[in-house]
Formats: sequence, structure tokens, C-alpha cells
Amino acid sequence: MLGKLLKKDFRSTYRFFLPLMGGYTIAAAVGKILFEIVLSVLDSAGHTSALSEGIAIFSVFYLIICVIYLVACYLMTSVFVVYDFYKTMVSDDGYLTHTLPVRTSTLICSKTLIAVMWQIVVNLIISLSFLLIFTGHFSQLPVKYFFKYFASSWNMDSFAYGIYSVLNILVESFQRPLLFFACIAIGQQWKNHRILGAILAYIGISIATQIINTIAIIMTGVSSLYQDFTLSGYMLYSLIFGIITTVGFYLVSDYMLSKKLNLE
Amino acid sequence: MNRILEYSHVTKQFGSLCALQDVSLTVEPGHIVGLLGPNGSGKTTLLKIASGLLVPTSGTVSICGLPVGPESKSRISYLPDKNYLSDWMKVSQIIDLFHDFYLNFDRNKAYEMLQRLDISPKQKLKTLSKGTREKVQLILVMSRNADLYLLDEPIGGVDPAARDYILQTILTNYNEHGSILISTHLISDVEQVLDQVIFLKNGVISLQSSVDDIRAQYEKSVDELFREVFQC
Amino acid sequence: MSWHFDNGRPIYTQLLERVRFLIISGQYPPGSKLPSVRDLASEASVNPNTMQRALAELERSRLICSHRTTGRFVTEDEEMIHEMKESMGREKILTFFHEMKQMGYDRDQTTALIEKILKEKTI
Repeated sequence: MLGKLLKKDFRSTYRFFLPLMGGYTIAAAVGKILFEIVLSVLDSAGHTSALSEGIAIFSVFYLIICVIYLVACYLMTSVFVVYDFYKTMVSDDGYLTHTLPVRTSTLICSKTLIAVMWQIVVNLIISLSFLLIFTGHFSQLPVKYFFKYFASSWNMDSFAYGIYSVLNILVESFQRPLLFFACIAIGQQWKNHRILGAILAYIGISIATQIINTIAIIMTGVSSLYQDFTLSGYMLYSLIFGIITTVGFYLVSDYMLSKKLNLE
Repeated sequence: MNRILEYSHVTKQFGSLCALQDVSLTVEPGHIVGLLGPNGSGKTTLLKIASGLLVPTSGTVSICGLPVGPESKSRISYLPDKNYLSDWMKVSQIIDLFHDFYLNFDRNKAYEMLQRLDISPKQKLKTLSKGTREKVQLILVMSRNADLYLLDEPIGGVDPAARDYILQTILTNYNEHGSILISTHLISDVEQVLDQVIFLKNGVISLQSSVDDIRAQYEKSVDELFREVFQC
Repeated sequence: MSWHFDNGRPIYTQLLERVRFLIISGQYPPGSKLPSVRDLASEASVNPNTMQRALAELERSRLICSHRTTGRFVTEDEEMIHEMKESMGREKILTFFHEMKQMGYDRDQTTALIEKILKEKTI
């Protein structure tokens, strides 16, 4: 049944993500091509000040638009995930979702996996677009050194830092949707104020996790690692904390939607 | 398996409002039961509890001896009083969806009924009128070979001409060993298809009897009796 | 085409009367096979269980008989059908006379009126 649900959830989300990611890909590719053309024209024609000034202004504008689009992509990913969950789980469409012969836990698993998949796709496309920029005329940019710089400032080698980053992105892409799902699942308890309920739940859960996090840091003594600047220990801790909260959000969502379901 | 549906001492509270109070009832196989009551009497709540959309405050429901869960949901075909299909989908896509999830869904039957009612499977749901959508939902629900059909106001939104067809559809398509629990306030239209009626008043069952017993005992139709019992 | 039912009388009694009428009037001739319960119920737009009950009652009065495998048949006993027809006709006429009486016609006046109408029109 999970396979069938994944198919259903994929179908209902790809119509949002396809235009979003398609638009971004086109914008990035067009930008890249334009830059390459303009720069090669400049190379061959020589750098007259008027021309290069115009190009500089144009490129800054284009970059700003790209950055806005990039931020919008991240934001819209969450918005779409939240919208789809709200629509199919607790609005009128939920009448169908919850009368399908599947467990609530399977429903949540499917929604989570689809959300994770889209986040990975979004991350991949955006990373690829960066790689694209750092080829051709920008290849002289010292990308490698950025990585090394970050890694050394965290007292790690760049390989360990890379692994940590990947794991962190992975945990976060599970954690983020499940946090939203838990909030919506709690919010649906308030018959007439579901969205308000979900927002309050979000604030409540955020504060609670912060407090627990702070207490845990003090209790486990991770804070002492802070002073020694050996942050790899802290990173390990934050990964574990992330996994625990993710599981917590999943359990809350499952409990609220199976034992406390209240469709209007 | 001699009871298709059994509620025992079911109570449902919404905050301070008591939607159902200590409701116990059973539905036998092959029976068509009418759940009658004015708006707000708890009909919808009762059906939603059996279909798993609401969790009762206390009491239990069993479907063919099973608790509410994936197994019971595969045996129940539920028609809500809401438009529960996604707007952006085509009729044919929804049929595929039902075919995917419900093993007892008969795709050919669905297409046959669509044709009878002149609904194109290629149309998107958002282009359909409210009445047509209701017909699509009913077609989907009645194309399943279920043990129990829970129909919430199946004829509420459609015109009187289509009502007859829909009642016919219900009568000819339900599985012979299955049962139907049908909630409505349009009693005179459905009276003759019912075995039994249940009057629900403010969340409490006030009468449970067979249609012909009511007619023999009170010398009036269920519709007339209903008007008397629920007189404002 | 669904059948029409009166309020205040059990539906199964009305179904029974209706099927009996169809037999007496010859629409279901003696010895013919009746449609299935489901088809009859669907034609009348009634619950199959109610139709079943009405047919069972007719079986008890032996106007129809059922064979386990082949279905239900109208009785071949034409005499019985005829008797039933006559008793129904009788009942109708008695009711008619009763109603005429309530209107103020006595027996002779009623028959006179009947004859007058028969002369005026060919029924």
C-alpha cells in the first residue's frame, strides 16, 4: 500500500514542483549562457568602461533575482509540502484519505518520503546550478578553499565536514516536514481554528524543543566541548538530537491522526 | 458473521456538545437501514465514526466483527456529505485511484454508470457542476463490492429526476449480502427501499423499527410519523 | 417506472396486491415464470427483502410456487386464479355500491344509473 500511496502523493505534488524547479533551471541556465556570451564578447572587444559598467549593473540585478528565486524555492518547497498535507489529511479531501484501507502511519510515511524526495531534488538542482556557475569563466573561484576554511574553523577535516553536511541535510529534510505535520495534526483538534491551532502548535513545539535542547546540552556536558572548540562532538550531538525530535514529531503526528482524528 | 455493523454504547462529544449519547445499534446482513433525523441530530457523526473519520469519546464500533482500521475500511464503502475528491483530477484518474486502493472496486461498472449518466471520464472534476460531482461520488461508492455501504445524504443535492435513478442505482448495485446504512431527511423518497428505520433525535435513538411495522402500527407512512415526532 | 404506494399501509401488503393483480389480469399468465425478486424489486423501486416477503405470502396462498433452482412460477391452476379474480371483482363492486349509498343512491337508483350510462356510451 505504501507504493500506491507514494504514487498518489507524487502525482498530487509534482504539479507544484515541476513548474517551480523547471522555472529555476531555465533561469539558471539562461543566466549562465548570458554571462558566458557577455564575458566572451568583453574578452574579445576589450573592456570599455561604459560597457562593463552596464554589464555589472545587469549582472547584479540578475544575481539578486536569482537569489530571490533560490530563497523562494526553499520557501515554496515547505509551503507546498504543508499545503498538500493540510489539504489531503485534514480538509474535505481527508474524507477520502482516511477512508482508504491503509494505516495512518503509512499515510504519514508516504507524505514524509515524498517531502524528503522533493527537498533532495530541490537541493540537488540548486547545487547543480551553483556548480554550473563555477565552471567556464568563473572556474577560477576558489570553491575548494571555502570548504577547507569552514572545515578548519570547525576543527574538522573537510571530508568529515562534508559527511556531516550531507547527514545534516538529510536529517533536516525529514525533521522539517514532520514538524509541520505534527503541528497540523495537533491543530486539527480545534474544529474551527485549525490553522491558528497549527501555528500555535508550531510556536509551542519550537519553544519546547529549544528548552529541551538547552537542558540536554547542559546535562550532557556538550557545552564544555564548545569551549575547547572541538565542534565535531557538538555536531554529533546535534545530529542525534535532530533524529530524536524527528521521531518525536512522527509519533505525535501518528497519535493525533489515528487516535484523535477529528474531521470537522 | 451475522452482524455487519454494531455500535455499542457509543458517545461522541465535541467540547461541551454531546453529538451522540450512548448509541447502540446493529445492522444485519442484506438490510437497508434508514438513519433519519433533523439536521444536527448526529446522523453524520454516527456514519463518520464507523468509517474511521472520527474517534468516539467512549464506546466501540465493529464492522463484520472487526474494529475500525484498514481492514474495516476495505469492507466499507462510504459516501460523505462533502465533496471529497481533488478538484484537479480527471474522473478517469479518480477511477484509477479507487481501482488501486480498493480490491473490491469494479472499474467496468463505474464506466458503465458514467456512460448512463452522460458524464465524460475525461473531464476534470473542477469543471463539473455540484450535482454531477455528487453523481460521480455515488458512482465510485456504488461500484465497490462492499460489505457495508454508508451513504450520507446520497440524494440531498440532486434533482428529483436524478433521484429515482440514484435510488435504482443503489438498489441494483449493492452487494446482496451487504448492508446499507443511509442517512437522509428526504424520507418520502427513500421510504420504500428501506427495511428498517432509526430515528435519531439530539444524538439519541428515539425509535428503531421496520418500515412496515411502523405503517401497520401507526397507520401512517414513516414520513408522516417523522413529521409528527420531530414537529417544531 | 416505480410503482406508487399509499401511505399508512404496509408496503409489502401493497406489493402483494399489486403482484396478485398482475396475475389475475393476465399480465403474468398461468404457469409463466416470474421475474427474479431482485428484478421485481428494482422495477418497483422497493427493498428486495420487502418484495421477498410479499412473494412468500403469495406462495403461502399458493398463487405462485417456487422451484428451488428455476425460480418462481405463477400457478397453473386457472380455476384458482379465476376464483380470486371473481372475489376481487366482487369486492370492488361492493365497495362501489357502498360508496353510492353514501352519496344517497339506493340499489335500484344505482343500477338504473349504470344502465343509463351503458346506453349512452359503449364502454
